[in-house]
Amino acid sequence: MSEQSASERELAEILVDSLNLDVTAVEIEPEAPLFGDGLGLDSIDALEIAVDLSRRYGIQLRSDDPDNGRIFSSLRALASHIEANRSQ
Amino acid sequence: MHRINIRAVGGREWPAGEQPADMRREAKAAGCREVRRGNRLSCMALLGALDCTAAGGGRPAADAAVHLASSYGNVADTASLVEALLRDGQPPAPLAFINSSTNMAGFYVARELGLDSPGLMLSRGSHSVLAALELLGGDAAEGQHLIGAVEECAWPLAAHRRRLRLSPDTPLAEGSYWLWLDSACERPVALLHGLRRHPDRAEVERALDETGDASRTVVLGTGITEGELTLPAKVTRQSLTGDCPHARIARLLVEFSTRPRPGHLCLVDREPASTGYLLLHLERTGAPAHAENAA
Amino acid sequence: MSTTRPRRPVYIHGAGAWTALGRGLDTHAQALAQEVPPAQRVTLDACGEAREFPFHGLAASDEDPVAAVARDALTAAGITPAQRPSCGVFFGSTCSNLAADEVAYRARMHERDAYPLDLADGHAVVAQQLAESEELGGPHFFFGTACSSSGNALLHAAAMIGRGELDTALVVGTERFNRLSLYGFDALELLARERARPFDRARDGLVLGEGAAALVLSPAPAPWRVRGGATLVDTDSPTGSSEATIARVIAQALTHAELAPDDITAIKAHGTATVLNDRAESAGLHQAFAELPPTTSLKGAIGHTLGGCGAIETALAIACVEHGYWPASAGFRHAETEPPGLAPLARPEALDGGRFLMNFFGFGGNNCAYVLERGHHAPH
Repeated sequence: MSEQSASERELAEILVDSLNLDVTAVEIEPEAPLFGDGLGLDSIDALEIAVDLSRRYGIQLRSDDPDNGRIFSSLRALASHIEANRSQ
Repeated sequence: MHRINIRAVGGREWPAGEQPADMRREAKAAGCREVRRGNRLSCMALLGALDCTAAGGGRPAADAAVHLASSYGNVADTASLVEALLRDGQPPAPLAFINSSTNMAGFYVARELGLDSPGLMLSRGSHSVLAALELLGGDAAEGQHLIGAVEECAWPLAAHRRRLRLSPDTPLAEGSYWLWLDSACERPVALLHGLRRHPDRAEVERALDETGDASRTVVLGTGITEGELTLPAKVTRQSLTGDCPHARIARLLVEFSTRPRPGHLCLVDREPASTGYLLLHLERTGAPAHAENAA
Repeated sequence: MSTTRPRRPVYIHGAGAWTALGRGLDTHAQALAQEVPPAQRVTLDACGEAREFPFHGLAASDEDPVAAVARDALTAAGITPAQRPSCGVFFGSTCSNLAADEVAYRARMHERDAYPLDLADGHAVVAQQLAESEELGGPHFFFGTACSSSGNALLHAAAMIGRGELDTALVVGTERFNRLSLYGFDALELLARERARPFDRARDGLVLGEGAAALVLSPAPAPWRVRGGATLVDTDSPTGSSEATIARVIAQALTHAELAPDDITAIKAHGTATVLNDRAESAGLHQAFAELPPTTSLKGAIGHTLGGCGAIETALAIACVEHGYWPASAGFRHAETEPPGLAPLARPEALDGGRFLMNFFGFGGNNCAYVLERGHHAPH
């Protein structure tokens, strides 16, 4: 398992808390898929995360964004998308 | 109404304290799987439903219908969403909005039990569980049905007491009480002989006389004033109890059905807006809830 | 399920409806025969910034729509004073009393003791008030299964009458403007920008609407009959039904109505105009019917009236058939090709009776389908 960066740890804690996940933040593998077979998340979870991240970081994520497959592919991908786009 | 077999009953009540009890943790500890997304009301529904199915010694058939009866459903979450949106300018979060649908607790129960069946959410104030039984009517004598009366509180409790028109020091509780109706069950804990409407006092008094058993317990609901009805001699009078006002009738049905000796229960009440009297007649068989039913 | 199989025939004796298109069955039949007006736009600023939403709202009136449609239906059905003491009320709604409560709460929300949802007995209050004001003394029920609420109210009223346990029922469905529903569906990214285009390949979501409708059911023979139907919960997703479940609830509804797919004259789809609902419903209908009868969605014309849509769309469908046609699906232009969708009616289709499948699906996986029957007649 590769090491979580500080921003990945922070995001992992948000995911666990916001989605009531049954894992702890440190257990989320940075490069494992978040959806489907990975953490087993689905489109409702994606909406929930998007709203939470928008409140915390001012980042806009829409369910019809064609890049969502990449953005939500893993903890690492999502964390780096937030770093690049956050406004607060 | 045909005779209806109640295979098992179950449920629990939680005294409402300063803070809402952590239902998700309790449901997880009880082995419920559908706790990640459900709200408190859903977790309460799961806990009561699993108490009931465990008492029935098996799993409901896949086509067992789930009828959730609740006066106010998701009152806590819905009130929070309205406050947040209107007073604080916060739009609803997606899942919280989805969970404010009145039927979501039934959805999670059906999912937990692996059902593929009809489901409804019904409401009629403190008579919601009677509404569910009345709507099923004679169809309850076929197949399997799970009926759950689930009532939560909204915090702060002071506001919730005002909502329920209760005085400031009234103790409150939350409740989740379930009945498992199973037409093919061989050793039911109780039999529902009827839930009927009688147009006037004379008719309901005559119907009460005709229930005929010496070991009758008669419960008069809150719609009946003292002395309004002439009761048969030698009945045991009992009151509705519990600090969860809208679940008292479901609590009575569950508690009465689990007492050890055979007996009959007659519940009489009047409803706002309705003509006449409702009379429910339940017979407790004295059979312990046990695993023989599982076959 | 036996719960939905009527054992004596159940008929519809009168109906009332009030939507953005106006009040009364004839008004709707005339409006739906033509191009319908576009949705209005409402501006809300509940969350700091002004937002504009398309919305099919009712014209301002001093009359309460629920009481008005109930009286219209009871009058049309010719309910006698002798029938009232045992007449039941079957009320289905998503918002229950939320619309009125939001108004009340907004007026005092900055007071220290203010709290929303101020009703002693909860959701049943509207049904109870209606029963009191109309002196309907039978059992009253609130049905809360999201967008199939009043569809289930009608189906279960018919079941109770069919079993001989009730003689008359007033079925009511309603949805009124409330901010929680608008912002909630917005949070789910399910709202259209301009208008609802059910089954169109360019559809981008639903438009909310408000309205009310009421229907009177009894076992006395009348031109419209409730043949039967079914309710089935899909536990896969809290917000969407799968095509397999949709196909199965239709198959169960046809079984209980003692009909085959070929017997269906026309279909009133749920047709919300969200990408996923219409895709699943198209696929489910294709599974259930080898050849699809003329199909329509009414949500392009009146908006999605959520828990009210069962009673409202049933009343409107009856109005159109009484005027000799099945309505066009407003907003539709081009069918989806990948995956293959369905092409609802682009223009009204002439017909003078038959058997009509009505679909209603709601959050919490609730699916309700039933079949109405109208003997052939000379149109107006």
